[in-house]
Amino acid sequence: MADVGLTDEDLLRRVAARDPAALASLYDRYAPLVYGLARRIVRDEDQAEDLVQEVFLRLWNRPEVYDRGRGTFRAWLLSIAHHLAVDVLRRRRREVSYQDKLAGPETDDPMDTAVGQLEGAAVRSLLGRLPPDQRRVIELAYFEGLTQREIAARLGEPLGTVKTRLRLGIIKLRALYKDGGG
Amino acid sequence: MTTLPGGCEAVRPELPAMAANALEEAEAAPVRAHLEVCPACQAEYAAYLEALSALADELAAEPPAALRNRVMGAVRADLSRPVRWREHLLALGLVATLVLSVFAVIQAFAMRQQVDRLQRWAADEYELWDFVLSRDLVVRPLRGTEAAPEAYGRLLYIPGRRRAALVLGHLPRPDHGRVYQAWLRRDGERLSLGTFQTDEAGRARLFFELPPDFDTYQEMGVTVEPAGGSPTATGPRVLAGPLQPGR
Repeated sequence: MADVGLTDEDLLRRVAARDPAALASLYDRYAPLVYGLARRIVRDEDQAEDLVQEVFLRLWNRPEVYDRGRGTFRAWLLSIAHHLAVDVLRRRRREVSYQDKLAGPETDDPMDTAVGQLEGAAVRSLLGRLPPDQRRVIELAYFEGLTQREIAARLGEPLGTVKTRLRLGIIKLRALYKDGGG
Repeated sequence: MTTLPGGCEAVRPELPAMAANALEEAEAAPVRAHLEVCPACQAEYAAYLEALSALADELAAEPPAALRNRVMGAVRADLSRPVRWREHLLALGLVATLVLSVFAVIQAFAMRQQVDRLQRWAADEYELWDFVLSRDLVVRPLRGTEAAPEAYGRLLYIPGRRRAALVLGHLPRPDHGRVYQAWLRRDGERLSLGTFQTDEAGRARLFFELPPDFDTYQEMGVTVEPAGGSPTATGPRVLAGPLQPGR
């Protein structure tokens, strides 16, 4: 490929100069990550494709928004994708009333079961190294797009407990990631 | 962490949930504001984003090939159409601003000239009233000649003062490149009082200094002369009148 040896920052500079080939290179590098994450969150292939398109068109139109002082381009791009995907979930939840489900304690929800059976197995290779209660709140926050308050309602746990678990879980994840050479 | 700015202690416990996008908007807003100004918390937040992004590594899946074409098609369409459109709009905006600025300058200049004209007109008007209201005012009529039978005029002056006014009406417009010139005459000798143009209605007002030996002049007249005036009258006479009563 022509972009071998070019850093993400090099390619971003070219995108800012309106070079479509540079965007294509960034697409080839990151579209599988964005697509996989989006598909896992919205659980709909068409919507996941729309999200990929939106992420890369945003990048095309506003490449200057990325600030290299705030972490890697990869993590930044995935956080954009995550926000957009969670917005889709939250819109969907507002359209279909999930009030009853949020109000009650956790049950064997068929949707949750399905989540577990999807790509969950792979994710659990990393998440699986966390205590189950921490893993559960991370899954509900990161993949289900629930806020801490919604997680507390879903699990029937005090908000403070949920906050602590989420914080400790992500801090642990960070430590594991560092150890893994990330 | 000795240089943490104020607010870090409250914000730092929220950073993991912020990175997971799990805060309510009301909770997220102050954290976002703090992140704008605190590099230390930014770095910590970035580390959480980095760790969470590892979850996506394990989910990576090749999107359909058609999606790449769709995205790049949208990019190329954007490149060929809206960008040029945006640039054109910018250029159009600049040109419009320039044209408006030039127009505004021209307008301002034209208004300035109009104000100057009105000020001159008002000054003339006041000066004329000074003559009209004087008890000693002397008026000498001028009559149109065969060249301008409708024309008439009045010389206004106050004995003992040098300043005089000539008020004229119904004068035909002189041909292009021609002006009117006023004269005093004595025994075949002429003294120029200056040249002038008429307004649209054929009116004119002329103020001038009378010569010290004004009393020795017998007649006053107006002729048509080349632009800039002549040393002596060359064109047809349009107005004439005696300066001494009874002559």
